[in-house]
Amino acid sequence: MSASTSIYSLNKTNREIERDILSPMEKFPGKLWWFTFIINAGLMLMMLGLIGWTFVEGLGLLGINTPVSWGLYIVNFVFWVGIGHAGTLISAILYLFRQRWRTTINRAAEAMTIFAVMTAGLFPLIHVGRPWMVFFIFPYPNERGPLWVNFRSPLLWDVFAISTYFSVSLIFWYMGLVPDLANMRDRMKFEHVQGKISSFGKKLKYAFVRILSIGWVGSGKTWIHYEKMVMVLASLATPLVLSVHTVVSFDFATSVIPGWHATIFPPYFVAGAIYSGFAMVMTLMIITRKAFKLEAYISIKHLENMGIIILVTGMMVSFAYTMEFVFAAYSANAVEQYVFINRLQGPYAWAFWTMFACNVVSPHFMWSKKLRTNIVVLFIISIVVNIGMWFERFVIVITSLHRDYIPSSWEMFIPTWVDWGVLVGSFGFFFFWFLLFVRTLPSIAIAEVKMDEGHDQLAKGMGH
Amino acid sequence: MKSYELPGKIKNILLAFIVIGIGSIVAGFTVDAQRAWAGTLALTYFLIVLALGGGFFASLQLISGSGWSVVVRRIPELAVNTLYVVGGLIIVIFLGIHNLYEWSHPEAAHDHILHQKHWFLNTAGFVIRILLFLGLWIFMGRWMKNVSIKMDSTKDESTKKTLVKVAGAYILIFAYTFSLASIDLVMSLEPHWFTTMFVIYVFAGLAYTAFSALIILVYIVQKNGALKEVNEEHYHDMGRFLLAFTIFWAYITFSQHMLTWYANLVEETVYLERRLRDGWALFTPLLWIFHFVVPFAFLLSRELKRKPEKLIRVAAFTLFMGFVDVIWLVYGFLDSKKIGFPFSWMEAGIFFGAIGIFGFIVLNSYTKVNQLPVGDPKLKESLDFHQTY
Repeated sequence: MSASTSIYSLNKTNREIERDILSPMEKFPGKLWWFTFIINAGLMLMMLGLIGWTFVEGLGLLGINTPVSWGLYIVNFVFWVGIGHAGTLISAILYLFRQRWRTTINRAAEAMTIFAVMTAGLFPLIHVGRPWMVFFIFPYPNERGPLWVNFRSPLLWDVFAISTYFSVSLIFWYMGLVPDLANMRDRMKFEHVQGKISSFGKKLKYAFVRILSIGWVGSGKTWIHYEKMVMVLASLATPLVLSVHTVVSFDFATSVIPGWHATIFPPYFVAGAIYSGFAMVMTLMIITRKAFKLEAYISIKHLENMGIIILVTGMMVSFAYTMEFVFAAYSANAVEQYVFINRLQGPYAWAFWTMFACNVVSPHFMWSKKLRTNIVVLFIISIVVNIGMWFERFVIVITSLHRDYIPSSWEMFIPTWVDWGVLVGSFGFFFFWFLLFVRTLPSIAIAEVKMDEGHDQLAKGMGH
Repeated sequence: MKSYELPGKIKNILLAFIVIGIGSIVAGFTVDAQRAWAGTLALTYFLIVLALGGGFFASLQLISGSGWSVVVRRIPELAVNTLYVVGGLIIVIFLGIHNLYEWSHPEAAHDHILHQKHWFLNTAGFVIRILLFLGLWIFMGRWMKNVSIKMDSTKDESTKKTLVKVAGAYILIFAYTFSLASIDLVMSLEPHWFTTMFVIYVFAGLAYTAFSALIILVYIVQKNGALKEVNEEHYHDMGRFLLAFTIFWAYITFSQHMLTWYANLVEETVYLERRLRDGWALFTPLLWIFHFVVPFAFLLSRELKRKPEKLIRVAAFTLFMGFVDVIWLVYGFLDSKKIGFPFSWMEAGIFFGAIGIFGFIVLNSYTKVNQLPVGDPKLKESLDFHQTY
C-alpha cells in the first residue's frame, strides 16, 4: 500500500475509536435490543419445538413426498451455507486483495458466517429423520462390523467441508478478536484498580475477557507473530471459502437428475453464495451502524463497495443461469430441455420468475451511483437479493424433483406450516446469536482500525 | 515520454518464429491434412485467447480501480491488434469448415442429434456469429485502447471515468461472446458432446495464458531498455495472479472431470474417455501435472515471484502449457489411433508461430505509443507501489 491518506480515514484518536466501538459492550442493553432479542429467541424456541415434534411424530409433518424427497430443509440448508460465505471472503480474500475497506466490516461479517454455518448445520441433522444416528457419518473406528462411511458420497464430503470451514473460520475470527479482547481487559483493569468492579456480573465478565485474551501483551514481537499468522490463516481460509459451496453443489451435480447434473455448478454455486452472503452482510451492517451509531466507521463508501460486489456477483449468477439455458437448448436432450421449459412455464414458474426478478434484475439498480449510495435502496436490494437467492435454491431443489421421468410419478411439493415455521425459526436462531454477539464482543476490529489510522497519521506526517 | 524502440534482434527472432509457424503448417498439410486443419484452428483459437486475455486483464484492472497495475497496463491494451490476423485465419477456417466440423457435412441431416442441433450448428449461423463476435471484440478492444491513449494527453479524471465504463462494457461483452465463440469454434468439434463447465474451463485457460504472456512481454521490453518503472513489486503481483489462475484452472478442471466421471452419462463421459486412450493416455495426465502441479509448486515461492529472471522461466513454461491445453481441447475430434501422441513438431512449430505473431504485433504497436498510461490519475500510486506482505 502506498503511503497516502485514504478516503477511509477516520481522523479519530485511539481513545475515541475504543470508546465508540466498545461503549455498547459496557452499557446495559436498551429496550430496542431486548425487544428484538425476545422476538428472535421466541422464534428460535418455536423452531426447536417444531423440530422436537418432528422427532416424535416423524417427517410426515413436512411437505416432502415421493419424488420430492428433498424439501425446504435442504433449500434452507443451501441458503444458510451460502450466507456463510461472505464473512471469510471479506476477512481472507479481500485481505489478500489488499482491500482496505474490509477492516471495519470484517469482524461482524465473520461472526455472521459462523452463525449462518451453525444455522445451516441444523438442517441436514433434522432432515435425516433419525438424528440420533447422525454420528454414523463420522469415520471413527467402530464395532458395527464392516460398516464404514461411504467415502464416495458427496453428503459425507459435505460433513468434512463444512466442519473444516467452520473450524477455520472460528479460529480466524477468534484470533482476530484476541487483541480487542485484551483491549477490553485493559480497560476493565483500569476500573478494577479503581475498585469499580464490584458486581458479580462485572467480575464474571472481567474473568472472561482475561481468559479469552490469552495473555496478549501487544509487544512488537507479538504483533510480528500475529501478522504472520493472519497471513497464513487467510491463505488457508481462501480455498475453504470456495470449497464449501463447491462441495454443496456436488450434492446435486454428482446425480443424474436433469436440472441437478451440470458441471458448471461448483463455480456457479460459489458465485451465488458470495452474492447472497454480501446481501446479508449489507442488511446486518445497515442495522448495526444505525443502532450503535457507527456511521463513521461503516461509511456510505463501504456500503457502496458492497453494492458493487453485489452487482458483479449478481451478473456472474445471471451468466450461469444464461449458460444453463444455452446448454439446455444446445443439448438436443429432450429431458434436459423439458426441465428448463418447465421452470419457465410449469407450476413453479412463479418461483422461477421471483428468482429472476430478484437475482437478475434487481442488482442492476447498483449501476447508478445515486442509488448505490442511498441507504434505503441498498437495504431494500439486500433483502430482495436474499429472497431471490432463497428462491434460486427452491427452484433448483424442488422443480428438478417434482417431475420424475414418468408422469405417473409426478407430484407437487406443498410446504406445510411446519416447513415454514422451521424456516422462520431459523432466522430467529441466526439473529439470536448475532444479537448476543453485538452486545458482548466488539463488532468492529479495533486493533485493525487503529492500525490503519496509524498508517494515515504517519503518511500525513511525512507530507505525502 | 519517449516511446519504445524494438531492437532489431528481437524483431528478427519474432519474424523467424512466424516463418517457423507458417512452415510447420504448410509442411503439416503435406503430411496429414486433417491434423494440419486442427492445428490451424488451434493457432487461431490460441491467438484469440491471447488477444482477449490482454483486454480482459486491462478491463479487470480498470473496473476494480486497481492502482498497482497502471505501469503494466499499456501492453495488454494493445493485444487487440492481433485480432486482425485472427480475422484472416478465421476466413481460412471458414474455407476448411468441412474438414473440421462434422455437423457441416450433408450426412449430419441423418444423424438424429445433429439434426436436432441444426438450428444452431449450421454453416450460415456459424459464419455470422463468428464474424459478429470478432467485430465486437475488435470494436470494444480498440475503443478501450483509444480512450486509454487519449488519456495520455488529457490526463484528467473524466477520461478515466469513460475508460472505466468502456472497460465494464468490455468485460461484460467478453464474458458472453467468448463463451459462445468457444462453443462454436471448439466445443462443436465434437458436436454430440456438451458440458456446462466448458465455458468456465476455457476462461480459466485464457486468464492463465494472459498472465503468462503479460509477464513475458513486460520482461522482454524491460530487458531491452524500457519500462524501467516496473520493479519486483509489480512482478510479485503479476506472479500472484498467475498463481491464482493456476489454482483456478485446477479447480475448474477437477470439478468438470470429477462430475463427469461420477455421473457417467454417455454423452458427457465420451469426451474424457476419448482423451484417455491411445496417444492421449500419456498426454492428458502430463497436461494435469505440467499445467497445474509443477507451476503451482514453483509459484508458491515469494522469492521466485520477486525475481523477474526466474519468474519469466515459469511464465514461459505456463504460456506453453496454455497452448498445450488448447491442443487438448481442439484435437479430441481427430482419430486418436491415427494421430499418435497429439504433440509433434508441427504443434511445436505452430506454438512458435503463435507467439511470433502475437509478440511481433504487440511489441510493434508498443513502439508507436507512450510506454506507460502517463495520463492515468493512479500512475503515481503505481510508481510508489510496494508490498506490505
